Amino acid sequence: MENEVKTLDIKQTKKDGVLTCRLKGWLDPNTSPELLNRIDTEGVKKIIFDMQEVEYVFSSGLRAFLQFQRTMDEKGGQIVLINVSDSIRSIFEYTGFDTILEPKA
Amino acid sequence: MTDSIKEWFEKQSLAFKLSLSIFVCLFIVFGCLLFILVNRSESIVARQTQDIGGKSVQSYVSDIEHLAFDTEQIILNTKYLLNQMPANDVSSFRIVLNSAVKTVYLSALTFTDAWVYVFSPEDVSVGTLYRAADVDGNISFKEENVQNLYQLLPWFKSVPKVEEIYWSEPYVHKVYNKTVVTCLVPFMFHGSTDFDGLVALTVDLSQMTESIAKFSFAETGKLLLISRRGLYISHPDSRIQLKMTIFELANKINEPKLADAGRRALAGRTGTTTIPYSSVFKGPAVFFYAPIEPLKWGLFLVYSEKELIRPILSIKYLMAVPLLLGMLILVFFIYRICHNSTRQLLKLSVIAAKYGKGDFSKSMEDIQSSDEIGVLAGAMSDMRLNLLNYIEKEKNEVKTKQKAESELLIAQNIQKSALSTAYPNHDAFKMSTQMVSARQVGGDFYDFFFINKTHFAIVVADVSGKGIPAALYMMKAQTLIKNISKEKQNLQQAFYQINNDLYEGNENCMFVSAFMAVIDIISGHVEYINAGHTHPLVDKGSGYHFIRPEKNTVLGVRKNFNFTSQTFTLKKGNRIFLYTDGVTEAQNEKKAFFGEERLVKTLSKKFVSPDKTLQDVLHRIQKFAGDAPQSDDITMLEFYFNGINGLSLCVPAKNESLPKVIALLKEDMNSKNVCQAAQFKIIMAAEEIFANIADYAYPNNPNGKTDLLTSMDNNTYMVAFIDAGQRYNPLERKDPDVSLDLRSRKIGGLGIFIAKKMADEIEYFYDNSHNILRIKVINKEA
Repeated sequence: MENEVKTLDIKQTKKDGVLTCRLKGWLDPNTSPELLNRIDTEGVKKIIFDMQEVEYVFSSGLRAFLQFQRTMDEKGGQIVLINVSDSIRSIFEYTGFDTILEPKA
Repeated sequence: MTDSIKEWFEKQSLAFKLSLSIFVCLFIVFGCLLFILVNRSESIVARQTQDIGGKSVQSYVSDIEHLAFDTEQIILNTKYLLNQMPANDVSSFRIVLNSAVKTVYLSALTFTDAWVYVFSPEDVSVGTLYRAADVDGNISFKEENVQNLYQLLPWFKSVPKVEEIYWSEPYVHKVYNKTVVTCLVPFMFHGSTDFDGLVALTVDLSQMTESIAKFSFAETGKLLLISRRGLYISHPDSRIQLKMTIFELANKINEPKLADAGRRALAGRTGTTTIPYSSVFKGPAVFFYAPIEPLKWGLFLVYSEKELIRPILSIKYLMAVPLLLGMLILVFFIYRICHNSTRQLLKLSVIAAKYGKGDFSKSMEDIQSSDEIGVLAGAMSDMRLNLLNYIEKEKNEVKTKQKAESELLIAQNIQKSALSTAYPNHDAFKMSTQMVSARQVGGDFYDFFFINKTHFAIVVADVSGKGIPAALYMMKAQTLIKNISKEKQNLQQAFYQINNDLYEGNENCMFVSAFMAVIDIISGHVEYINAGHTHPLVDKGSGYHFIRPEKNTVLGVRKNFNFTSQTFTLKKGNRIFLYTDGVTEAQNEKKAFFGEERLVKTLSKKFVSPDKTLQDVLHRIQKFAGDAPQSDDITMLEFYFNGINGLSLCVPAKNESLPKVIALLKEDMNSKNVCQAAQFKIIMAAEEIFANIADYAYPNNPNGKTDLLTSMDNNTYMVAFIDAGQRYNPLERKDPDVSLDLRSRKIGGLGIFIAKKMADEIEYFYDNSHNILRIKVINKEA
């Protein structure tokens, strides 16, 4: 049944060393490794995750973002999450992950 | 003084007291007896002596009186003859004197001589004496001229002036050297007008005085004869006899009573007097006196009273000595017996004191006596044996009692330990149990457990018998029911096996009546078997009613018995009430049963909670029973079915299951109009918890599963996660430090932390080998 339900959709656009990822669905223990696998950070200075269509970010998702953060730290790059819904923002805030969020509009 | 004697006496031994008392009593009694005896006999002897003495004296008196009388008669006859004669007829004098002497010979008198004295015309002291005397049996007759009569007769003092008899004082005759007395009378010749002379007769007293001297009375008694002047004619003392008067003697020894006695006797009186000092006895003496009338003499009987009663005194000593000796022997024996007895008593008391202190080691064998002490010792010996027996018996009883008590305690502990009180915290149902053990544990038990995640079993059973065997059998039954019912496909198979297992080795022929129901908490379907138990009550919305199930049979009695199970269905709010016969058969003081009717009536109250229901029933039973003792265990169980109004799913405990779980949760929440904010929280928390279970619950079992149950109650949405994996409470895990910089912090613990943040309420239980984690979120917008 799990195969039938697609829980994460990733659309990547790369321009001037800035990788923009439009995420759709959930970031759970099943999808988070996929996110890590599918994003190639080669030559990327900055990753922007568009969270517009992300329904849930679970702890596994948070850990994926942390992974990206650490990767980018190594090359002097950065990551930023944009269009974070209030509810998901609250998760980041609770867990101290809000430093990677774009400042709230 | 008397007090100190009393004190001293009190201190003495019993033997001494008794001996002394008896001795004193005997002494007084015998002393009195002796005194009375001696006194009485003394007085009797004295009286008798007086009597005899008096008679002896009288006989002597009359002898002497006879003598005097005879003498006087002869003198008077002679004088009469001379009166008839002319003066100076000498020849006739001889005849007259001869006749007198002859008369004397014929009488009892001892004749000495007789004479006629004729006065000269001028002087009475001068005259002619004509004397007849006894010379060796022949009478000699002499005539002599007397120049001085008074010279011739020194005892003669004067010629009498009247014609009457004159008695001389006794005197010793010069010729014969014998004590004599002379009796004379003046006479006149025929025709004379004045006295012409004297006629006299001298009588020998020596025979009489000898006879008196020889007289002895009561060994020492003596007769004393005194003359008219008081001269002793006869006295044992030769210095006194004829030499001293009684008055002179009385004067000499200064004993006026003696003189008194003399005067009285001479005055013609008879009597007795006691003289303090008598010359005869050189001591006190009794004088019996009597007069000799014609002579005006006195005769005394003198005897010493002391001498008289000497034999009596000797009798007194003769009696006193053996009496005293007897008394001493008696006292000696009393002392010995007492001493022995008291010594035995002392021994007894020492042993008795030991008995009193609980020391029964010493027996009474030392005391060998067949008297009362022996009887007492025997009784004490019996008492000792009885006490020992009693103590032994009591010890055994105490042991038995303690054993029973400890058995009771063990049985109660077994029963208590076997009973679970941790009710599963499940939203599908609520339940409560109540058990009040009787003193003698009856072997009731209840049980409740999940057979699997969706099937919950409730059991109430009653083991026959009491005490440890029943308790052990109860444990066996409980264990078998719990284990076998989890293994078997259905209740019928389970009971078949349980029954056979309980039948095996059931030598005590015990059995178990049981009611067991298995409730599908999802559907409310109930399967039950009644193994000879009380009929349970079910409330399907219209109050409790008995169900009348198939009786089947009790467990443990019939091998290979096929039990019939029955079914019914519970809806939300329905209840089941199980109990043992301790409830309906609870008795009051009048031996009436509590009964089914009262039970139904009590259960008809509005439902509040299973706890309350059971408390109400128990109170009602206790009120009914009053002071009557509880004879059987009271066991009750109420099951309240709440029902499942949400999801109930079982999925593999893998992350792959997550999308399905979340999808179904969403679907369920939407159907229950859970708002988006609450839904987000539930999904967040549920995902983290499920992922946690998937990662850690079954490290060695790839087929491990997780159950999810949801419900909506009081505007609160609940999700429960149930797994049978290793026991683990994620809530105990330390929260991550969220203040730390992302770059330096450890990854881990975030999931549960998020779940805690999301849930309004989060709880963990471990029940019946299952981890149960339950989250609740209130259905309201943020």
